[in-house]
Amino acid sequence: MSEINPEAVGVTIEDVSLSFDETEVLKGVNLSIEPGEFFTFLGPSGSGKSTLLRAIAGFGPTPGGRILIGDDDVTGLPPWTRNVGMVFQSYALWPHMTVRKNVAFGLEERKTPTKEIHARVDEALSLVGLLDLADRRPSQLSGGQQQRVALARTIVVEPRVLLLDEPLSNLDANLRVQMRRDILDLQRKLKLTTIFVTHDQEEANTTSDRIAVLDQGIIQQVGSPIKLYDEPANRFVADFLGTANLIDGQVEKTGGKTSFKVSDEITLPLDGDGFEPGKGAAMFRPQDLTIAKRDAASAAPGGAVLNGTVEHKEFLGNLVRYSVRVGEHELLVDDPHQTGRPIFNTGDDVVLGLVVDRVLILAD
Amino acid sequence: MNFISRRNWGVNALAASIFLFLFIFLIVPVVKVVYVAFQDPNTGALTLINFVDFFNNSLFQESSLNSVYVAGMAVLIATIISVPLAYFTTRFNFGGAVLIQTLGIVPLIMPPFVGAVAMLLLFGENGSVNLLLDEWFGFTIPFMEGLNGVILVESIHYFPFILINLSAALLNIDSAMEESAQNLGASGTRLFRRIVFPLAMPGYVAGASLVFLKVFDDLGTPLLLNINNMLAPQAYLRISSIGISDPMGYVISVILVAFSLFSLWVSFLALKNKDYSTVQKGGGGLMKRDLRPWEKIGCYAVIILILALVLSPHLGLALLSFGTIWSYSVLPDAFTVAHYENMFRTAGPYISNTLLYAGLAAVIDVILGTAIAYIVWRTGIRGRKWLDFIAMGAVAVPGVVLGIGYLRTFVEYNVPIIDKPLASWWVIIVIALAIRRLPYALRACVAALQQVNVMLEEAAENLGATKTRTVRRVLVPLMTGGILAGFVTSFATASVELSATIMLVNAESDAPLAYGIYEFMQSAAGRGPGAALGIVAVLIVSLATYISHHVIERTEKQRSTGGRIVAEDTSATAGVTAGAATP
Repeated sequence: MSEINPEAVGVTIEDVSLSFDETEVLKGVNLSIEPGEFFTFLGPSGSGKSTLLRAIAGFGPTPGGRILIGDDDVTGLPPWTRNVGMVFQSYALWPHMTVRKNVAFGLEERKTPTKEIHARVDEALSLVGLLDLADRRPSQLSGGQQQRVALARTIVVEPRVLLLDEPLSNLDANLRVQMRRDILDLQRKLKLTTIFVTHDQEEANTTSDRIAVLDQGIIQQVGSPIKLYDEPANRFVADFLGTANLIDGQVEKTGGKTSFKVSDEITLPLDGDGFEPGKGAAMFRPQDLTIAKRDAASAAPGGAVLNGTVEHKEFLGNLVRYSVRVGEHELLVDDPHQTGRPIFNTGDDVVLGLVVDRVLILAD
Repeated sequence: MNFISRRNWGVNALAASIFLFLFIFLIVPVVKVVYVAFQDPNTGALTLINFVDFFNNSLFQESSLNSVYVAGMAVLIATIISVPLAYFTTRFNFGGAVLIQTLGIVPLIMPPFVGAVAMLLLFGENGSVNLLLDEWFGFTIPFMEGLNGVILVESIHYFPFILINLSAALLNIDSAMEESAQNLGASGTRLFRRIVFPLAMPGYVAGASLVFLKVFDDLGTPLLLNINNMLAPQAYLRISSIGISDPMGYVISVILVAFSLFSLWVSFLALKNKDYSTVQKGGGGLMKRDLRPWEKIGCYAVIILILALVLSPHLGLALLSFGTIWSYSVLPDAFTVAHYENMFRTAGPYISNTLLYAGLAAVIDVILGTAIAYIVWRTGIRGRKWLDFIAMGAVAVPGVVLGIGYLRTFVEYNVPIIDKPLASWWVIIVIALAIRRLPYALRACVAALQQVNVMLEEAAENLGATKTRTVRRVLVPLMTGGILAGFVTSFATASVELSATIMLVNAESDAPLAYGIYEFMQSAAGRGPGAALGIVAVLIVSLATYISHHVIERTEKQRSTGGRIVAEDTSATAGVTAGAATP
């Protein structure tokens, strides 16, 4: 099906705002999605990610601002004129039609000749591996199969953009992993600009070229999964993607040296000059901390050294996650686990090491 | 398990006695009717001669066609009334939704035969509406001419069955169903024709076949409108005027049962494997939009027109009960309470009989309903599904048929002490009512039982309660709301039942209210007091319906605030209430 959509188009969102009654759901969103990109809207429920996706498809009230698909301004156009394919969270397969009828629907609406419809439906169904089940009813299919039918039904019309609204949320865990790979493969094969909505960071990280993190109707940050994890722009992104230790304090410069002062007891030396003095939060990941017994002569090499007491221990298989009290802060430490490596218990006095260049300062 | 516990023995005995009751009072009479229909009246041999006679008789040919025509037309008119109402509530953000819900209940609180005579005075050849039409525009409309009258009265009464089922079907369509079609390029009427309509169809067919069945079996309305050339009145007239040995009554009964089974089969086919309720968590209903001002005016105009039509039997009945003379005039000449005085003087026994019969029948129904529900859903005894099936089978037996069956079957059995045939003892009326209303009570009880999570009972057993004590201390208290709703539904509908009782009433002193209304309405002078008695019937049924709604609402509130573990099955309860007040 390589002839599908040979020239992918981008999606441009310019200052899009939207309110339901008094509630502002989207507040001036700007985005530029590249042609052929797998792009994800990631955010907690109520962040506006689904509303934004539905606005691109033309559902819901007409938003303020402009939405462009390729060079066409589609703002305010009815859904059936946009030719963007959407896969619904509930799949929305019509129970009164067979699988084949479901998939043929969009082509019939486009007045495609019957012979061509037949061929293209077959092609789409074999692409998702369901040609054998073409004459079943949706209710006779498993959740994963229904998902595939929904995908086939959408891509068969060769939409300009593919929209996926939490398509994996109704599947069980194993199937979800399989399905997201299949979706990604399909997307690469069709070179179709795809927008994926999810609240699951693992799904977002494993599939996306780029992610837009949304919270409270505002785009918090846009970037590749690795960039978002390594260089979160603010506390929300730091906390939402992965686990983060966040400590409030102040950047100070004394005699050419930059440091982050948390309290009289705790000061973290900072590496480099790129830090502006002022209040903020120090962010570092649990795996950036090393943990050792307090009496051990050799503390972690370089950087800050923090004394603390183990409060909780969770054994997670590949690592042990400690919660360590340092002064009035509780820090999470991920210690990789290998057989024979020492395990600390609640109440043990420990010393934590932190490599300086791993610390990120998030301005308030 | 190699021992038989006492509990098992008890449940088996209970199931056996319920089965025996249903066997004697439901299966035997119906089988008897069918058997007699195929029996040569003189020799007793099995034969088809009765059916040949039936189909060769021009009156019966006409009656058959008329019954099918009336039932079909009533479905059509009921559809025309229901479709806009269902569409308004499910499609638009519309303030009149409450009004429409009320519309869906009002007709059900009065059986059609009660208002039939009043409808003659409002819509008849010389009724109020035609007098006004003639005066203003110089023409009249034959609303109540012959079969038209039956069609009009029945469709006004039974359209809520279509309205309720169709609205439920529309409400159960998830908006994603529609959105995905729009996303793929469909809009407007194509979207409606290809997606919305097929998804709502099963609900509509289920409602429509119910209307067909009810109208086809109804005896009271044609009798009161003096339309005798239909099947149910013919069956009644043959038996009551020629006698219980005349085979034609039985042949008609078989045909009535066949049509009932046919409409139930259609309804079953429509719903089979078509659980189209597609609403997902957080989804909900089709897309609604606000109305433009002129659209709103149009909607309200349609609703008010239908409301006027639906309320007209009630209005007419009230006018009739308070009017002195009402003939060839738009309104009665003057108003009086004399009819009520007259009615209370003479009709006291009708009312007390009704309360007694309907009350007893409803008690029997909820006891049987609870027991059957428990046996079917909580025990593993063999053949338990049959109990449910047989009890529900009563739906397919028209009242006339049950009445004829009782007459024929129990006329030979003398009740020992009072030394009277069982068929002419008032208790047989109670049993007939109980059997006729059992399906409603049973559905209410099953719905109530299914809302109680088995774990609640297991917890009680785990703490040492025996099965019997668990039922008494946990299950029945949790089912109270549903059982009460079942009681009220049975009571309300039994209190206005005419078709079975009219055959079984042996002495005036044993007659219930519905029979009294029929008796009164036979003479012009009796219409006033008859209407007054009709008003009493409406009051009894509406009070009962109100109580049942109140109870259901209260239990639902309790459930939502009490945080109980319950299955979401409010639709079943709603369905039962919707079935209320079917004579």
